[in-house]
Amino acid sequence: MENEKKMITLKSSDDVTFEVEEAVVLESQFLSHLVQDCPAPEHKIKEVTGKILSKVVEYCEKHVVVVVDGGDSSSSSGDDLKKWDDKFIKEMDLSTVYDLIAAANYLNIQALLDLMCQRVADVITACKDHKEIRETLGIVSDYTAEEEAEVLKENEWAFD
Amino acid sequence: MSCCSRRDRDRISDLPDEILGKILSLVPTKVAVSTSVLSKRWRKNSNLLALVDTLSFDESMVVYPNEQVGSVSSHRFLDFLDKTLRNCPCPSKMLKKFSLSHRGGSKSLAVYGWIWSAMEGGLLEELHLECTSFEVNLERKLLTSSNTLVKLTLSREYCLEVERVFLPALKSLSLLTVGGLDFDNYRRLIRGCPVLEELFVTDIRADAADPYPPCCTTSVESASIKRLLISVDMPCDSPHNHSFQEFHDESCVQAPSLVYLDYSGHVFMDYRFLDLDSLLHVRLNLKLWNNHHNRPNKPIYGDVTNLAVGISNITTLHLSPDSLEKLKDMDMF
Repeated sequence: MENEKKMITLKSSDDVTFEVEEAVVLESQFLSHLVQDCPAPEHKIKEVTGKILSKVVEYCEKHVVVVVDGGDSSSSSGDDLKKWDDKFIKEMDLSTVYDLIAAANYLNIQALLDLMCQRVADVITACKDHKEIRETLGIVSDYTAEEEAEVLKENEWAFD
Repeated sequence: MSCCSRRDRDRISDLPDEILGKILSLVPTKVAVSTSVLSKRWRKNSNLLALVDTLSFDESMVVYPNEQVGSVSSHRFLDFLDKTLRNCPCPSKMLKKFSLSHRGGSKSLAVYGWIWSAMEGGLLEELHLECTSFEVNLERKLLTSSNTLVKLTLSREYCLEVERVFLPALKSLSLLTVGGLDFDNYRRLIRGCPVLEELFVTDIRADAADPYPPCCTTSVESASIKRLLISVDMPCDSPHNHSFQEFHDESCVQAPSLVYLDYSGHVFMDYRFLDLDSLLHVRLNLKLWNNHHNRPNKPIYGDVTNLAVGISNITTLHLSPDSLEKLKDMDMF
């Protein structure tokens, strides 16, 4: 029985359930505490939808260090994991990225939060100027023309 | 694009300040500052800058219209630096990493004052400084002590005198062709880093018109380092070829904890590689002096016998083709 992995069920806000190994749950600081403090077989996560929770579970399952039978420990090698991360975020739309940021922040999964913030940072860095940043991120300026001119002047060099 | 659908309108501005700060830590500081114009939410930029853990300033992001305009650090770049740093709390409990790459010149010294304060009172872990064109003379108080600094890079046109340095947490040091660091100061710097594990030293492409001898790369003595990368590449095809060869008289490495060595450079006359009992992996790229090919009767400059003896305990060795030739000449096989 020792070798049998402990399974935990996570339930999203819209009642989608995910059965995962305990090790996967431990990737999240928030869930590790939850599981320790309250050893129920099922945990409802009211703040995260099924669509996003499935992404979170997918990420954590990939990143968990798998202890295989016989005591050998192996984790996906760094390069492979990096490639997987790249693919994971590549086709994700920004809406999903924001949801994952909120989820990773809430569940306290540092590496996932870092990865998602990096994705947004890359989008911002790739823009050629602030107009493109606005357009890409859907930011609506609430400056008057005068105010905007003033801010531009204040940080002149940044807009070269 | 799906990212701009109605529902997603400006969701980024709703993210909490800490998250926006985190995102802005991951873009060049120039871009981070430029976000102040996006909307009023982002104007609270000075607050957001207080939340970033990384500041990175790179003057090469500006393309100067002509060389004359760019001949000294542009006022606008320095103004920008100055204003931005004034908006950042210093010392800051958030700031972990600071990097600056600029053309240099004495007008930029105020920036360094800010950096020293950030180091002294803050929690700075990484500092990367590069000065590409005009010498900057770092004051002595630089580097005198920091209990938090783990990684330090100094690159190119810095002049520094080291008196009492103590960097008790420093693990990784890169000295990349630092023009104004002489041997004594270099040794004092290394001695002030008791837990140093990684050392990268390069002397690359010194100006052929103004030759100076390889310095930091010719001698490394440290009880703690585990990884060492040395790269010397002087312009050996220049008219000064002869004198550069003379500078290559002896190369010393004494490092009892060293595990990995990557060594690249022209062959020295002699090597003193001592106490390398922990050394396991070596990558060698030894280059022969060109004049040997022109005058085959002349004896080859340099002798790698003591190098080979010094590294005889290793388990893996990567050789460049030239190194192989050199070692064959010496009957090492």
